[in-house]
Amino acid sequence: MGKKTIIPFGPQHPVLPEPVHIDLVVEDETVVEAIPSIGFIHRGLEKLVEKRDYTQMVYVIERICGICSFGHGWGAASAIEGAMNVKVPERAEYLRTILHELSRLHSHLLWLGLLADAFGFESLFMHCWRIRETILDILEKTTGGRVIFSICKVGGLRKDIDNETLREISETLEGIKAELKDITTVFIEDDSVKNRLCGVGVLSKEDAIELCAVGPVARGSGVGQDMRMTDNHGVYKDLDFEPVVEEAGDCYARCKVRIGEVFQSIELIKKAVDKIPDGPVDVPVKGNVEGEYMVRLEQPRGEAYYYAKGAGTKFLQRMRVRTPTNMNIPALVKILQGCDLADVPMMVLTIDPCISCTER
Amino acid sequence: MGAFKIAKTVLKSAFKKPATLMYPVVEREWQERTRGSIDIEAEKCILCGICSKRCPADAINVDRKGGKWEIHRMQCVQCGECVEACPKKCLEMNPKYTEPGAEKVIDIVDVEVKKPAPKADKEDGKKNDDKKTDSNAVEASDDDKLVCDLDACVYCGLCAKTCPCDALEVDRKAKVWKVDDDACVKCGACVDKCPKKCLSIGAPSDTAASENKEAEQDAEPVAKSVPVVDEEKCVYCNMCANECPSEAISAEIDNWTLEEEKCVSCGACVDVCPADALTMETVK
Amino acid sequence: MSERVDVKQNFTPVELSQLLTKVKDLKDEGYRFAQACATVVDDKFEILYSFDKEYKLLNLRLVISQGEEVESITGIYWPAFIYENEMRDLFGIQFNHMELDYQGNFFKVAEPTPWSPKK
Repeated sequence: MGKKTIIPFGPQHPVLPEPVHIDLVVEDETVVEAIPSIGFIHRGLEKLVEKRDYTQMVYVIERICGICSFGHGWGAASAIEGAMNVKVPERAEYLRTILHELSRLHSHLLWLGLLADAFGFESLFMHCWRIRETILDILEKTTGGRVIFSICKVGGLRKDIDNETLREISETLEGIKAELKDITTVFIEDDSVKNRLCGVGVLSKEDAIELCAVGPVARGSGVGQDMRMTDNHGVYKDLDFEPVVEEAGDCYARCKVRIGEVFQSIELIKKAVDKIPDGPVDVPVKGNVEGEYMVRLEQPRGEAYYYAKGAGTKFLQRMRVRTPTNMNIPALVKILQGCDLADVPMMVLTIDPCISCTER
Repeated sequence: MGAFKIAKTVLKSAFKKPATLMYPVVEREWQERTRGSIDIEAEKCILCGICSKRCPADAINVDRKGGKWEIHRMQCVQCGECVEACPKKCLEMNPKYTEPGAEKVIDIVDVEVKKPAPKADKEDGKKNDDKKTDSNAVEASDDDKLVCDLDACVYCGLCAKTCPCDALEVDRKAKVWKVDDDACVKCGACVDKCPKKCLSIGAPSDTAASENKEAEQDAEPVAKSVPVVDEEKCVYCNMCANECPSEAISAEIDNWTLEEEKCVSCGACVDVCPADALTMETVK
Repeated sequence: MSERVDVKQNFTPVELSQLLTKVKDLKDEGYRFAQACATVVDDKFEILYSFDKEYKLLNLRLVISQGEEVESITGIYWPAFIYENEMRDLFGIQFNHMELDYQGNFFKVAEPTPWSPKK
């Protein structure tokens, strides 16, 4: 029987992109219990509905997080459009889907780099981020920003992207596929990487369902739920989409799910560019918000809920964002039980923690 | 064996040039759409304050009396709402970012305060007795209201479409023209757009009106846009002719004609056509 | 779970006394807990619980007045502790029998219950 010690993990830690605090109860290098504690980055953004009208609120919600920024903008605009009964033109839906998939690509490449950094593989980290720069250049060329895009508005998009630029995007993505294949082979087949990832941090399928896990955390444990299978979210119904699912439930499986989604995103973007119709990209929106509406999106980290409620004035009554990491924290607590202290940073990173989203 | 799988990538990158720029020695090339910072053309600004109201970050302050337009560079989030909202299109998004610095910078720009036409006695509506004492005052006053000369108005609705604050209500059938004085910021976008020149801020003076007309006749004619019909799509239903506020269209079978001098470019015909057969095109 | 679903909006009201039985029924039917949030409407709190089963969305709306206490559903769905602690810290709504109770220290806010309507 070893002595129990409490070791604090975070909020400052080299492996964490954002501050979260976990108290690890440790017995002789094995973690017995983990108690999470958040609140370092709470900005109270949802309370700004009282001071910013509904068009300005889309900008506020977009700035909740830098990595999942497009999804937040789309979700907030969608929820308000649903409450006002506004139908967005088809070209705008296609463009939003394409930009969302580009956002997913850059988010997963960022995560792959951080994972490599977490087990000390610096050169792989740098190569992942170098490939990510190509995606960020595409995003800057079309929307105007590398991180915060400010292109979604209530009623559609603020700017159009012409078909020639879309074809260039398709060709650029086809061009980086070979480099991506080389890099992801390192994650999947290299022995030193597999030693750190296989069999570590197992979340069984029953636990994933019991703890209501979402996103790649659930899909890595065999629970195949992906909000892109709903018909109200973008144009995925026209693109033959199927979720990527792995059965093992350990860190390696979650890594494979995200790598599978990277290649799937490139195929989805190419299909969408082939099928995109011509037409306007926005509809004029006048009036105030009356009623409520709930929208669900598939962010790179899992499903996200956006709820808008208005009472007839230009200020909304409530704007609620429920982000995927919010739902994955109980799953993290379960994953951490019974592991080695040295594996803790790896496991915290495999749920892809986006704490600024969690705390808004 | 799965050892050293990164060998291929490492060897390739050993012989390629680096992916990074030697910044600041090498200048970065900005993309065309990059949202860097906001620039203002002070000659076009009319100090209406719409940019300040629409800014989600409260970064812009407009002093209407003192004639100053200022922006907090570090507060601005480069969203571009002000650029879209400006009725005179005097704001522009510059791709270059604000330079980093040790202090937070507020850029203040001097804008000339535009003076309205001198007031004279008006026969309809507002009496200006309490303003008589200030008849020599030329400072822009917030008590000027937007007025419409209802005899000249054709109720085309162009002013309502142009208004950035949704302050105007125009009903062509009921012949109603209404302004919401609380929402109106006196930016003058409607005054410029009105094809019959029946709008003005404050009471229009007769001398000023005739001066304006002469100035217009001397000035170069502005490019006008008129509807053009696609004869294959047109079904000659006559809805465009019924909707036209100046009765410029005649839609007889196989003979759709437009009297260009009467057309006021309001676009009502384009909106109402059920076959999408009309488009507005500019003519010289 | 590979069938596409067209999601319909769904808001069902529920009484405070029936909350636990209704949530238990949903758990037995196989629903997954998604989120819980509170809104201030005319001096009352409106708590919205969202559940999901194979992409079908179901929301329960519970209206309580200030000062009323709500039974915690962490006994049925353990991950609800995050949302209940957040609502307690921000709005001041009291939940009874929470399985993981942070005693008001979940979010490190400068003043207690900043979003409650008394302020």
